[in-house]
Amino acid sequence: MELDIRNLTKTFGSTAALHGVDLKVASGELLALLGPSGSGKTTLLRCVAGLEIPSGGQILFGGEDASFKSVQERNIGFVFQHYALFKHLTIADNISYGLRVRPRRTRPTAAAIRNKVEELLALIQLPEYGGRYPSQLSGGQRQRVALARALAVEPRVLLLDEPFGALDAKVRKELRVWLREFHDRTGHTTLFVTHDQEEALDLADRVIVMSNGKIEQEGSPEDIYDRPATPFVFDFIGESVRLDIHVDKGRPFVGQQEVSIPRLPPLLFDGPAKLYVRPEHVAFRRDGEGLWATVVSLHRSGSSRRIGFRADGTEMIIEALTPADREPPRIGDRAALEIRAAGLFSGTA
Amino acid sequence: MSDSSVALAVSLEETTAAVAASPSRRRLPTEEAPWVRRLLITLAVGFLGLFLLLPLVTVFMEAFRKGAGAFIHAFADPAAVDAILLTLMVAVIAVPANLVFGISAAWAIAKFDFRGKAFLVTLIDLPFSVSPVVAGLVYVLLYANHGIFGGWLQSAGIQIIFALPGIIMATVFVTFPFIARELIPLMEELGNTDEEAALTLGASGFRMFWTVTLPNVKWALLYGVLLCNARAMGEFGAVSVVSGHIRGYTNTMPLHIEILYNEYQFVAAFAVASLLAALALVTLGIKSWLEHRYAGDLAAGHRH
Repeated sequence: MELDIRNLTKTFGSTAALHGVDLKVASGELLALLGPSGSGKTTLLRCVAGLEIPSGGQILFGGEDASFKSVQERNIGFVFQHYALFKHLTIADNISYGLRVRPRRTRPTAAAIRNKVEELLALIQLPEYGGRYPSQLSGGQRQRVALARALAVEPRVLLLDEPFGALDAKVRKELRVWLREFHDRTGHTTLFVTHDQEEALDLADRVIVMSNGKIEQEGSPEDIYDRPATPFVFDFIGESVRLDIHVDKGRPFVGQQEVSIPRLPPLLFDGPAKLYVRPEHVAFRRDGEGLWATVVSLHRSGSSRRIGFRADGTEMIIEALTPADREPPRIGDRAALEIRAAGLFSGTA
Repeated sequence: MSDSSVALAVSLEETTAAVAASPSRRRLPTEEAPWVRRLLITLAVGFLGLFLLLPLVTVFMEAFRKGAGAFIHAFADPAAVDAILLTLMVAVIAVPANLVFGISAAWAIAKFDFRGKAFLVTLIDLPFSVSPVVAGLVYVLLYANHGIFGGWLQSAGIQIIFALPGIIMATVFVTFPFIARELIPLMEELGNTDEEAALTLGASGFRMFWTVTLPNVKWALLYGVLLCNARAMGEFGAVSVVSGHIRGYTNTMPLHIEILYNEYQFVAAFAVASLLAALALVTLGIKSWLEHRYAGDLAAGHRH
């Protein structure tokens, strides 16, 4: 089922949580809503679910306006960060809840419900767990049960609110891989909210980066990481250092030195600008052409080494990332830096 | 490798031995000196014994002072039977009423934000802070024949003060906070997520309440009902003001006990009193069991 969100706004009292969000989701797509807390991503998800009433705009499910439909009528599957399993019900009763609360006319028979539960338990790889209670399961298992419960009602859209947020790092990764495979097999249109960029970039077909109630950038994980469209995305996704530079006659300068940056669009302005550089895009040599700088810090972290350079004639620090087994320079050494990719934005703020 | 681990074990043993052998073992920072501990325990136990346990024992001793026959005889008095029936009747109406009010109030406070919420929370505590006698007097002022609504009630043929409705209203007033107070912190802590989950799965609001909300709070609810019931049966002050002490008609057990006592019928007074006390003990027993068994589900089990 495709989803079309048009100019959606939401205000809580006097604070706006969403400022006119437009978003189209294709049928069967796995979409990540990524942003820091307070960016409006959860509010957007809850508006789609019908758990929050938008202040303006429209939400269309498969071309049909669902803006005024109740939660129950929307037929969505929602998975909560803290699972929200009913702790007084067994796993099987949790999964079948959505079927059992249906009015008699549309309720499947007891046997059909039992079959459905069996089928879903097999799908989430917990076939023997139907008779247990949520408290007897681990966090990762509970979240899979929550997913099965949401799927039991055959929802048109699956909505996941920080689904791995309450799990520890290892389980998170396992479950992430599992969810990707699960999605590829079942093909539900899925929106999930996360503040974890690794999760979003790893899992989603398409990533929507949000901040302050607006969409900053949408695109494939590669687009988002390799070609951040705004300073916010550069700051938020991956690592980067920000350099305050200036542009003179269309050429960028760090202090007094001109820097050459490949694949930069022509600069149509002069004056102060911000240059965002990722550490893995900085290479250094002992001689030759480049941005001359002095080594000021060395820091080993896992399999790589982080080297801090101060650009000549400035106080600005540029970081480079090299493999840890490569012979490092010493503090005080001079080197010519080559910036292989960077983002440049006008202004100072 | 094995040598070094043996050496480590030995040194560990030496350390423990040294600690155990040291004559003045150092206290934890949070531990009191032994004499302070003994003094506090003696004070607490002495106080409880003198002010709580001894009176309780005395009630039963006095009730049986003249033997089991006299004790049973006290309940042969039709006035005593009427008082017991009236008390049960009041509890049977007041407790369910507060069950409904308590759940509604807790729901409103825990699940919604609205203007005047803080005021409502304070208002729920009013019966805890105001003297029951004052509550009774206010009811008399409002609903007695010469009261504000008195004329209207009289013309409609409704008798509230010096009748069953007044007694029930006074009891409801006094016992209102027990259930609401028990539910509010728990419901606030649980939040809305389980309810939202039920709604997204297609449950109606009513269905959600019965299958999700109520099971989540059932132990706290039972606990509140228990305390509410104990207080409803034992309430004296407010009921005393509104009842008019009409024997066989508006006398509840506590009022009946007072009358018997004032008439120097000590055995009868204490016999009825022992029934109330036994009721309190049973309540206390169930309450302790609930606390022990469902500690995690009771938001404020340790508070009362």
